[in-house]
Amino acid sequence: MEPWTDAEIITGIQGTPAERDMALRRVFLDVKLRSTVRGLVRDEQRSKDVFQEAVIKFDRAIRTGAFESRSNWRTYFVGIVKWHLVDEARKKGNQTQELKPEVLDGATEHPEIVLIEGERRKLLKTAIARLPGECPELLEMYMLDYSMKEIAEQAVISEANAKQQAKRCRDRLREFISNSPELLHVLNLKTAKS
Amino acid sequence: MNLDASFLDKIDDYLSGKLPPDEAMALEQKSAVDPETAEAIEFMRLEREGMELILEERLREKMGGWEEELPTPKTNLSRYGWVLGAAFALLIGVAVWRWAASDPQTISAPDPAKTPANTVPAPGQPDAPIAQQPDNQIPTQAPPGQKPSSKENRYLALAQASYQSPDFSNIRKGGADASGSPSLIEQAAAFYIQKKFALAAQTLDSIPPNQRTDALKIRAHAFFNLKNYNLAAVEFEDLTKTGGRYRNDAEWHLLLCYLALLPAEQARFDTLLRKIRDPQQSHPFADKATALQKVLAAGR
Repeated sequence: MEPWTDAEIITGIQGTPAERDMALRRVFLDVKLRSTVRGLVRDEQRSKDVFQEAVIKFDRAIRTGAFESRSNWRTYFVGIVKWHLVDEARKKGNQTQELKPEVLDGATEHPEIVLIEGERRKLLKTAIARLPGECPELLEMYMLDYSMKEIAEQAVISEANAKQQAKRCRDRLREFISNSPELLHVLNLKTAKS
Repeated sequence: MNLDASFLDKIDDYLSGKLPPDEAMALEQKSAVDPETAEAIEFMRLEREGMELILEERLREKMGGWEEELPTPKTNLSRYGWVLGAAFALLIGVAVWRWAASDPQTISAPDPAKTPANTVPAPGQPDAPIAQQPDNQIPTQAPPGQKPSSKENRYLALAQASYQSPDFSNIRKGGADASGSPSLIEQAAAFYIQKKFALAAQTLDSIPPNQRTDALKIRAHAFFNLKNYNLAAVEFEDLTKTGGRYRNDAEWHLLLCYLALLPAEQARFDTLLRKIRDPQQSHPFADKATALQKVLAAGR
């Protein structure tokens, strides 16, 4: 089996759900890449966690076009890992030395901001968990920029039905967020009902 | 807050970078002076973040499944395995030397020309159970000059005599290493061909996922040649489930492992032998299995 080229990885991740899974699986199981990350992170379990986080960030970078092919995808991936490690170390440092000059200058995040970020994610996860069964899949495809026709094909429903269901799922998510005073408070927002 | 559908779509397009630059700039200018617009954008950003989180969670789930395909990480034991292996080999060597010195009737190397596959089975032999019979006769197909001192030795000799080492000289090279140096598979195959079986198995301590079947195959045969039938059985068993085209071959070799491990693996041996001999299976090793059974029956 030959290694995938940059183009194959990128078009795969941006492709159909099956192509996307295949490409991400390739990235996830890449022996060479794992070995490089293992070299950067000494602890085996932590290395696995960091690798997983990097796959998530890499996927997002490919989807949003942040990856501009200035390097090959493996180099870019290792760059993500390095930034992740720097970020982790920075956040860890913040927990113990919150009044360092760089914090006061705004060069690094204040520990409170880090906490808010974590809290926001936690609250969002709670909102997602309350969504009806078919919603996560539909919203995933929506975020992946699939057309309604593609979403309908994947969900084995009509296009009109897909559109309706996707809208309903978004409405439900919006409703959960609007009715979550903690979440709105975290973001310093007022009630967001239309 | 104005959250009508068209306004939401506009913000959504803005946040996903689809809004034309002039419209995006207009929206930004509006949000700078209008707190409601700014709040609506933040709200939509949060909503998108929620959907992004769904993507993340689903990807994590998938990665959890793919994790099972990863090669087993090297433990400290396996990293220093060669030291333990050398010590173990030394111990075995001393034990064999002492045993050979005390018992002149040691087992000679099996003669591949007299494998059960090359023998003509006698018709009308019973199907089962096998390997449960009293051990009062040496099988006729046993290698010449071999005088097993125990029942285990007889099974072991028969397993070795029935075994044929595969040719790994034409194994697929694989493409995991783009640097041009030989892949792990190539290195392991080279060691195997040189009969450096321990090195072959050690080289594939981490199995390359893109050549899993070939890697398992080399490891399984390396273990068999190292006479570590338990480990060989584990690898062959894996191949019987995931080995694709190699499945039948793996089943036959797994049977030989069980044979070498008799009487401990008697139940598994009998079950697998029956399966391979089952006419409905049209197993390519059915004839060999039948021949093996005749040999065992003749040894009763």
